[in-house]
Amino acid sequence: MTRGGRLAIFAVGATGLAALLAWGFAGLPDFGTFDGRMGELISSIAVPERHATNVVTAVTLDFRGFDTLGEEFILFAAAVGVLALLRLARSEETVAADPDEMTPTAGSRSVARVSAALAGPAAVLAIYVILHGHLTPGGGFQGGVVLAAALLLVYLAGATIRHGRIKPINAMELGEGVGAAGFVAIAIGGLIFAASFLENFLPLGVSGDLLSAGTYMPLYIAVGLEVAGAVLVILGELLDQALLTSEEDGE
Amino acid sequence: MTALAYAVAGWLLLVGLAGIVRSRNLIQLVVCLSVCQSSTYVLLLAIGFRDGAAAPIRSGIPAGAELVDPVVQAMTLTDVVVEATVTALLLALAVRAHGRFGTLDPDELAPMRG
Amino acid sequence: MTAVQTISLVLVAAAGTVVVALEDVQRQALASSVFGLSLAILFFSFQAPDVALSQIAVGGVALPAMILLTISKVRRRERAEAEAPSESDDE
Repeated sequence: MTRGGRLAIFAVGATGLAALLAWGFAGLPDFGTFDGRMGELISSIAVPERHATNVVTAVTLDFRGFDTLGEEFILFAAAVGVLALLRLARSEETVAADPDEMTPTAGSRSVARVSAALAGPAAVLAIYVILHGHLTPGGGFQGGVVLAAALLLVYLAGATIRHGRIKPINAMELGEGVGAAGFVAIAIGGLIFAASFLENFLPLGVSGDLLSAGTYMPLYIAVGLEVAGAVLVILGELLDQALLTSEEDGE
Repeated sequence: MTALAYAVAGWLLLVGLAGIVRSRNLIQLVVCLSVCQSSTYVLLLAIGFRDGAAAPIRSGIPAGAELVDPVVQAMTLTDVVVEATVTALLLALAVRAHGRFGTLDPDELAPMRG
Repeated sequence: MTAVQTISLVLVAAAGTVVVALEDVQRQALASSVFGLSLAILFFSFQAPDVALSQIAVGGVALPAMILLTISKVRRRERAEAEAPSESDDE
């Protein structure tokens, strides 16, 4: 089919979809007037019953925790999928011969220095965000990505991690696996020490304290490990790919 | 004016779809798909918003204060992470497709069938 | 609806349109980072700080990084094939 024909068909379909969307949106509550009873209920019991001041965390890890477990494994499966897809490709290609090309900042010392200076603060920020997920905005998902970014800054900062010598990707896979397994272990802890799977079985502490809200902090640490591991596996694999090239190019 | 948020959500979906249809490059297609996906975040958060309500963090605000809906926010949080995984997988597939066929143009990929 | 919400909604719609309209993938990757950050501003104005933080990390950094790495992989391979065209003809 020609490009023009395809666009014409799309224009018809898009007009229909736009009409359907307009119809659907007309049936939604007016902006700013949402009457979500479940959300209101959870907002009112998150502090008295779970001692968590961040209500979104209470929803994510507790009231909808089973869903988050599934999400964890979506992430895990995606990282494994990327590995499987790209490692197959690797047998067809080899690493560029010029070692300078293996460090992405080989040509720029200032980028390397800025990265070195930022890596530490970024890691501290990541840990802060993960540990305070039950109190303030943030948590394992946000902190996990920042942690991955901090470790990538270490990579940008220097030639320490070179392809073929150290295999940091193994450590990342380990982190990812430990994170996913940790989440399940804490969830099963609920089954053993309390009544049901994922039940919050640890002491709830005082609302607002760092050590409060029971299992939320360990769960978010597991999520943070998992997310950081998965993001690093994916980015690391794409980075390796970017450094790979066909054999002819190496000479 | 109150319909603006919903209109933007619909616009992002349609404009992203248009980008996918006219795309001549698999990477470009993945970027356009991520625009489509962000329409769902705008829609979900727009539905859950309440005029004058505070963010769903129960610290430093009066005990009875009205909060915006935390459930849709948790759903959007999941949505954002899933978008990242979908994009990663699709990009890996694009790399593989390019390695196999030597092109990123979906029109040239189609008739080859491996 | 507050002024901040209106402005950031318009900004998001404009940035999304620019991302789709750009022809060059590399520019698109950078524009998608700006789009991700404009979404984060919108989420803050919707009183959703959790989602905004994760949007900054994912949409502002992780996704553009993945896209740029993929582009660099593809360009490098194309350069290699231009130097040795005989090898890639059968594939």
